[in-house]
Amino acid sequence: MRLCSVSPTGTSSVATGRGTSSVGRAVAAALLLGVVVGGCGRPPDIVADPERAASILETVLAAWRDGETCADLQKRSPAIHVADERWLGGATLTSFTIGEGRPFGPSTRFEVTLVGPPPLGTRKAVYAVSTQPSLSVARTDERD
Amino acid sequence: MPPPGPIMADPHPGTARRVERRNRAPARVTRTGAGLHDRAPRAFTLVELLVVIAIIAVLIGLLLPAVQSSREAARRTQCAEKVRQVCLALQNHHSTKGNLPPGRTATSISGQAFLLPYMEQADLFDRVNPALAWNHASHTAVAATRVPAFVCPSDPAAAVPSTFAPNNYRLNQGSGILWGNPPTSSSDPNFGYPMPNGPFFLDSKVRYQDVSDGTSHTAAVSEHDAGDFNNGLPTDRTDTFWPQTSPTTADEAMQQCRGINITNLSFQRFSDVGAPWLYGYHSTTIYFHSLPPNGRSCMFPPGRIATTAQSSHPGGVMLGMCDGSTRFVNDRVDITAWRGLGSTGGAEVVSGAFP
Repeated sequence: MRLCSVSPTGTSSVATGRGTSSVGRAVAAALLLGVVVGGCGRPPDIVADPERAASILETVLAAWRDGETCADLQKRSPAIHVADERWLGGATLTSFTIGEGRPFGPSTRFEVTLVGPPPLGTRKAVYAVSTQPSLSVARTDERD
Repeated sequence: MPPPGPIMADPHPGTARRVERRNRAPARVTRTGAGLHDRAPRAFTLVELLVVIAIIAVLIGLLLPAVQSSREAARRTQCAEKVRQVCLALQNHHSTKGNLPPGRTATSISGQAFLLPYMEQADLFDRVNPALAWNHASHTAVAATRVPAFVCPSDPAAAVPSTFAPNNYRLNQGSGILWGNPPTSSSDPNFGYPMPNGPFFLDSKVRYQDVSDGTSHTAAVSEHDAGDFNNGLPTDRTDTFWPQTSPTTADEAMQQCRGINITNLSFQRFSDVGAPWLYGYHSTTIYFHSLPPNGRSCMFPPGRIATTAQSSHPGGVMLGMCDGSTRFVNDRVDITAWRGLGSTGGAEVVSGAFP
């Protein structure tokens, strides 16, 4: 009884008996099936990226402090979209302190201390920062 | 017979059976006279396999829409029951307190919170302190507690963070565009606007006898899906957009809201929509009848709002009336009739709102 002495050239493991080309076709069919079935799934969820979010928020607030406008940030590459009614309304920022980021669904939230001349004064603010698919910074604590 | 050698792993496992058959003698003869060893191994060819897969795919393609449709119909029925449950809770509140609950308090506690005792959630209501803001630390656990009666089964609400419990059923503030109550200072840009004309607004205590249009002709509750909680992703049907204009009428609000290109993310304002239920807010627990259902929602700070009803049900939204009945309103409802449904008074003709 010899289980291991058969020449590999004379036989094939695939029922079609046509050698390695059949194996290739079977693999192709499996791949095709995988693509078709895989297409039924949901796209992967967007996951918060606190480190990148912190960097973007720092960039945005530094731009405000340096006298840039929200529109200037949209012209950058990649564009950063900002929603902050106080900045848009012309408030001046002289300094800021960013707290620790907290993942909040697909975005990250930060508590920030903003300092500027009245009417801004010194106040706490909360910003939501999204990094995918676009960069966005939105004030979330002051709502109307 | 040779002595048995060491058993080694077979590098070609598929060949072993055939070799075993070759060595097996004598082969049995079948009725047709052919021995087993003479028959070619028979299995599905690749073409046969692909044909079978194609047939299965076609069958799935035919069946899937029907299955999905029937599942959505079941979810819509469930949703209607939940809207009705909220309407009954409103009626029970009215019976007990003599008026409907406020749309929200000055501390932004939602009207939904005041319905909890009438939805077998008295324990949860006991943990709400209306004197404290909705986001006070003592409300953290309450805001995260899911209330099944506030969740439509058609809305996956997949992006809602675990610290917020979702709400799909919103209370009607009316067909105006003023968010708060009319300001008393003439320097306020919203000075001169009328009171909200719906049954639920800031510190409201509307009674059924105040609903002069009739409780069967006045909307109390409708629905809105939760947002994607991502301001970097414009989602037309759920987000609240910010055209950065200042409309003076509902018609202007509709025109300006529809006029923006939402792929420009500077018009994006709130995506954290529909949670938590504890928070009385125009993008969380309140909606307006100024824009048509299943359209875009917009806000026009300071103080002018046009969030609307929206759902995942194909073709329209569920509407709970002040008399406790529920209706399904088509997306293409006449806007005048839709606005008429939103107000408690005005004697508008609303018969065109329902098919």
